[in-house]
Amino acid sequence: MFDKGIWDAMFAHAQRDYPAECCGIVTEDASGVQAIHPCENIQDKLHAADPEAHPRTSRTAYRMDDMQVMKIQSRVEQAGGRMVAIYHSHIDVDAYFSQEDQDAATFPFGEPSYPDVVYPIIPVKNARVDIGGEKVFQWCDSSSKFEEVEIR
Amino acid sequence: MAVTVRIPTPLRKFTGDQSDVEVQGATVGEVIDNLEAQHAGIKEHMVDESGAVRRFVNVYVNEEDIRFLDGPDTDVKDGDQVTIVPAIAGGCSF
Repeated sequence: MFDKGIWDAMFAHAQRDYPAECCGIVTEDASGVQAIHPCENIQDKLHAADPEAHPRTSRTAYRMDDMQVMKIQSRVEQAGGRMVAIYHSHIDVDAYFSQEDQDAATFPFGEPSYPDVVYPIIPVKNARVDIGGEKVFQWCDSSSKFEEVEIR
Repeated sequence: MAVTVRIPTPLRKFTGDQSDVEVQGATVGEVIDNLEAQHAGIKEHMVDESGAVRRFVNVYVNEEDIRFLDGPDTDVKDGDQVTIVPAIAGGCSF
């Protein structure tokens, strides 16, 4: 699924941003070489601007700078590559795909925004990555929700 | 006034797989209404009953998020690009 270096880079990012949730994407170029792109979690900015509309902080939520993601995605796709993963960390709890994760990853009425992309979640507990506790989720057509997939 | 609307993959089923659609309108709200007139069914995926952009959808005029401009009342001019982007977001359960 991922080269070892990609997991290590996701773990390092998760650890660096603790106690905030980190987020980022993984892309693959035309020849299958993977690259990680740590992105900005703008949740605290949204919370500061409008705490009523955005009650959560980066301690319990993430929101990527979507324009930043779109630019990375366009650049990679123009060169024949694609986005393969959207990762984030969980703070002091296990890795699971929450209702909030599910709601955000599907357009209204339930269709997944990125059906072909996997969603790794990295738990960080007491400032240390819980290595071995990471999980990966992907949209499943038959159950119409995100299900855990095997990390190969 | 015509702007180009960039459609994200999950909404292209409404536009016959087109990624870019030319739409008339002087504000983002008018552009969304005219987009709906051309491609029925797309609007309710972008805005709620009150006309506000849905929580996990972003609408940009050129590179500015309309949440930080005037929302659906944001003016657009000839040649502007309106981009619809599904949010990438989430959070743990409480």
